[in-house]
Amino acid sequence: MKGNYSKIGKLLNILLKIVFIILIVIILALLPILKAMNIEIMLIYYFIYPIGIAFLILMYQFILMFQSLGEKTAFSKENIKRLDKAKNSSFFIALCILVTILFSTIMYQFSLFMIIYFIFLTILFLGVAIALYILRELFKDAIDYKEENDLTI
Amino acid sequence: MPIIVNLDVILAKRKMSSNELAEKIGITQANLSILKTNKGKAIRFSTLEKICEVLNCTPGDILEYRKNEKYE
Repeated sequence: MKGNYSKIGKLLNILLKIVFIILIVIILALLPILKAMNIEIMLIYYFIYPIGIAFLILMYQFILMFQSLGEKTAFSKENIKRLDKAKNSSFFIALCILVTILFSTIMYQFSLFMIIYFIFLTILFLGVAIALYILRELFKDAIDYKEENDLTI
Repeated sequence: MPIIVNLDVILAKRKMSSNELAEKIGITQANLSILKTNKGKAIRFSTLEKICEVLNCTPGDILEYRKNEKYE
């Protein structure tokens, strides 16, 4: 059964997929391009890989969830697993950014602005992880209600 | 499951098939099957009413309470 979501939903879906592809290209191409331009690659730039991959996983879960929205199978165990993966990815990214801060304050002279900026990013991704966890619990309850309703003759 | 649905017995008594019953009370054969195999979690009073009307019986003829034998 096909479901319809609003125009904004369709726009977001397309945007998500475009950003996903752009991100893959950036992550794969960034360091080699910098090397080719003879720009010094600080050790810290290598953090792009774990953070990037985790973020791609996160976005992919969202793409799959959008798909399930379209097919009206939103309240399913599959989506709960996807929300779990998304939450774990987000939490991992927050940890990576935190490590980046510690790493750079030890190895480089980082401006105060950068430190504050990275702390903000850490808290942001922690917030996303928390929101995804809450959503997961809500979905779990919703599935129970749906099953109860489906099995009421 | 403590509440048992005894449709088979009374269907045999009234010489009616499941498909016929499903059609007469206006539910799908799949849903009737869920009821008969005790996989349902709840039944609407409206459905129960239609079943009793069609089969000319009372809810007690169809629903039975059997205590769980296992205790945790």
